Amino acid sequence: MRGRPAALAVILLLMVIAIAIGALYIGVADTTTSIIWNIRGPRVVMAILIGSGLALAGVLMQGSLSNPLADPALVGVSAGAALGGVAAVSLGASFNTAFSALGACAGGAIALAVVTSISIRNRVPEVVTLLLAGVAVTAFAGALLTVLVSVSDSTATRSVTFWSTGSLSLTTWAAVLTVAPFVIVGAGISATMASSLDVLSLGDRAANALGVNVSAVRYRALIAVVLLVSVGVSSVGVIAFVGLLVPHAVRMVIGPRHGPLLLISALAGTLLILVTDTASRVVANPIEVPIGAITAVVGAPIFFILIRRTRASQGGWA
Amino acid sequence: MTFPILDLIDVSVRSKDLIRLHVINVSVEAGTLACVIGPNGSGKSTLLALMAADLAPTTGRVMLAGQDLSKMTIGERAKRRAVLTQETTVSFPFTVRDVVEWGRIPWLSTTSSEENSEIVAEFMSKLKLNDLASRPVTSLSGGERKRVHIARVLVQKAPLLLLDEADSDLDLIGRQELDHLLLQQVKSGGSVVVVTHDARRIAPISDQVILMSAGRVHAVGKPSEVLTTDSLSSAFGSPLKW
Repeated sequence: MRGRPAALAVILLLMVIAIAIGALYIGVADTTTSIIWNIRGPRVVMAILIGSGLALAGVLMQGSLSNPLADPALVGVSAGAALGGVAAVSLGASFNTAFSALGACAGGAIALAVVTSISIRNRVPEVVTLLLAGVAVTAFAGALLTVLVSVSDSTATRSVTFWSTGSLSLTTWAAVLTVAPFVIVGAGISATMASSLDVLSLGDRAANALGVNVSAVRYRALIAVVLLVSVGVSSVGVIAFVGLLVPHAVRMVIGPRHGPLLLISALAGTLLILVTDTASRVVANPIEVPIGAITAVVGAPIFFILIRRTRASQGGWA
Repeated sequence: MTFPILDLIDVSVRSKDLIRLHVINVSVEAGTLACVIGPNGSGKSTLLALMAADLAPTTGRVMLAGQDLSKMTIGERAKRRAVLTQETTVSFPFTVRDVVEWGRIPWLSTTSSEENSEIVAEFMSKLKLNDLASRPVTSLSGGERKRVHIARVLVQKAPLLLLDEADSDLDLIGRQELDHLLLQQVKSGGSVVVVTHDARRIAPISDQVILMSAGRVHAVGKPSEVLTTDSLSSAFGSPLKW
């Protein structure tokens, strides 16, 4: 793990840059401290939580479902979580409270339960079925979310665009404190599962024959996914492709073992969100581009390449 | 003195309205090699899945060395039987050595890491995998990948080996070497159950043949008793000369 101090140093440097750069470039003035403390500070910490959460969730989903194309946004978890969060708010909760967080977790968990139960047949998780079920769940949850945002006054502070493309611009310290415990617990769970996830790549029956309780491992991984993703989504919206791209990129560099993969992916996800969030503030200054738009512009073409590669290694999908 | 390593007592498998296995009674003696043959869809893999506890019987009990398989923990089962399934795909590009080493997982808490590495090294060379050790298993040919999984199953050092078509994908030399390894296993007191379509090759080294047909045990006994033109023709539903 020679790269670890270097990676941490890069992240620290980026944090400083991210704090300094923005729609309003920080000069030396009296207002500087307030901008750093109240606006940029929470935003940078949130980027760390969201980036590591999405990347870890991607690793866990891909490993536990033996599906190289899994990503929380692609399989509907993020849409379910956004819907759950908005539903809680339209029922009277405020954003970034325990109640909205639980609503988001419930929404994410229901979406994930639906897509995984449909896609596991005869104890074999099917790659394509998961993605197709994800399309349906995302469409359904997205439609309900649009209805709720349209008819409910209490959710009007956040637009449909905010939910579908994500933004860290509304981040406050309260939001950070709401999201952090869920991401920390989710990361803690994922840290215990590396070796079981390795063996799961043999398929359910072979892993079971080696003494791995496959359904327990999968259950635990998916609970961690819900914790890592849902509350973050209810705070910053849906940021797609991070959970897909980061684990793939990291796997190419350091190999597929889940121990190092989980750790380095969390760091790389943090890096990616710090960079893209900073970019979202400066590319069209003074207007902020939604961060989810940037990750999708980069992520969608790479997803296309991954589909072709997966298809080549698994045979055609008639 | 012999004793049954496996005893399937009044076992049947039914899923919804489909009977996959009618009530059967089969026993495998310890220290023997049993081969399971039969036409496609006759229940061979279902039988093996029952023996592996991958599948719970709808009726009856499966006893492993006198103990009910369903009452053992997953970890206990992993120390007593190793299973080679037909599925050889590995989802991510782990190295050959990684995959073979996973075979030692059931023993990690009770065996020293030196001993584990020795066992892995022994079977890596027996299966001629040393040159492939650091190759990603996803880049191998079907036959090479099969050898990796056979090595993984053998390093598990379980007294009972359950192999579903271990010989498919292997070339002629590979099959000859596999038979040699299975015989070694039996000589050292282990027990082996193989599902195969290559009855002619495996019959001479088998102690028992289980001939399946339409979810039933059509015939069971010594190879010379079971493998006859008459019984094979009726099991396969078509004239078959032996």
